[in-house]
Amino acid sequence: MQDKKLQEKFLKLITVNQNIIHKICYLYGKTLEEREDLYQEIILQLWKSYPRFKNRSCFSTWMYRVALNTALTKTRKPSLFADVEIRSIIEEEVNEFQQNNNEDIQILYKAIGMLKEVEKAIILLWLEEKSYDEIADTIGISVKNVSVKLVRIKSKLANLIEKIQ
Amino acid sequence: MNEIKLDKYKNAWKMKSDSFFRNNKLSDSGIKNFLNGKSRDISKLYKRGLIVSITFISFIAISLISLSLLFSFKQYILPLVLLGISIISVIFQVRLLHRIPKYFLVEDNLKHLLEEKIYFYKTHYKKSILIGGISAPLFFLTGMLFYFFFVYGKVRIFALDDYLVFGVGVVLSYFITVVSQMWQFNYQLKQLQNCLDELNDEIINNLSIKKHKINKMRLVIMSILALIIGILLFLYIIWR
Repeated sequence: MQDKKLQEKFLKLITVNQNIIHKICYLYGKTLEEREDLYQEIILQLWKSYPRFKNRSCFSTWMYRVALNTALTKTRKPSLFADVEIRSIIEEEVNEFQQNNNEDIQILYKAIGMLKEVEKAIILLWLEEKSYDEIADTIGISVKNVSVKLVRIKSKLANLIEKIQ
Repeated sequence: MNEIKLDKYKNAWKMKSDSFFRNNKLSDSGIKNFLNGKSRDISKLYKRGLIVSITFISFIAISLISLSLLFSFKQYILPLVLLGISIISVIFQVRLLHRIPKYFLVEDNLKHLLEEKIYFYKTHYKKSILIGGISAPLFFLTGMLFYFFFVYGKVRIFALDDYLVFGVGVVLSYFITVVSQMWQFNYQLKQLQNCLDELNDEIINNLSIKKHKINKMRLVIMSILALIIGILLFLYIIWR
């Protein structure tokens, strides 16, 4: 009975904040299949660690932490069919972008997609207006390192956006 | 110029990033379906792989026991040796199974989580590949024994050709199994290592800067000491 109540509460919170998972899956999953796998894995990890969430931070910050950790530590198996995969990625992206009219967001996602894995995580947290302390705590580096990394990442991102436009 | 550009995109993100996924939004029941799926976390996959390997080698062990009973007294040394190897590898794998961390604390900070997973890969996972690779040659040799029993009724005397063929078969089966799994293992380990290196590169730079500053300070102190000693010696020589 308690488990069911906990699950209901958990599902409500996830439904309200599910965009966090979509954003992370979109950035870290190269194909539709990978994104779906990652989505499932993130939900399972969130559910597994939810009993340990003690409201020390706000739910969205905790959710970002778990989701980013899952995405960054999930390893891909080597694929012998890389060319086929790349073709399917391009087709899926063309279809998805055609459905969406937000050009700025499309460009931003494309540019963020070209960054390294940890850089994506840091810039995503910055875009979500998390404080330097929160970013440092999530990533596990010092606040000074966060500020140094952010300067570099922002400069790299700005250059990528210029190239894409 | 770059700051202004990024502010424009940051504002766009603030206002439109959520609506970008309006077609992908799931209901409570949609999300609940994901909870019924199986986790593909590395420790869970590894555990399942170990259980399959233990089951497979146990099946080979049972086949070898039944084969030993069929063969005459002089002939069942080889099946017994193979049975011994099977039992030892099962024991090793069961011990490894008990050492798997129950779960990685996914709400830990990223750096610590990466370090834990890399440690897991380098210790438990690598060992299990080397031990689990034994299943291929065991399967090959058990098959060979069954063939001999049903065709000749005994293990016939080997000629040099037989040693060569079966020896190559055993080595090749172990080699192929281990190499293919190690290739996958190295590929996956590299992904985690790259992430950790990316996190640590600022820390490494800071450490080397600190080291450089300490060395510079040492050099300055030694130069001052050398100068003082030199002046004192000079004064001593003059006043003597």
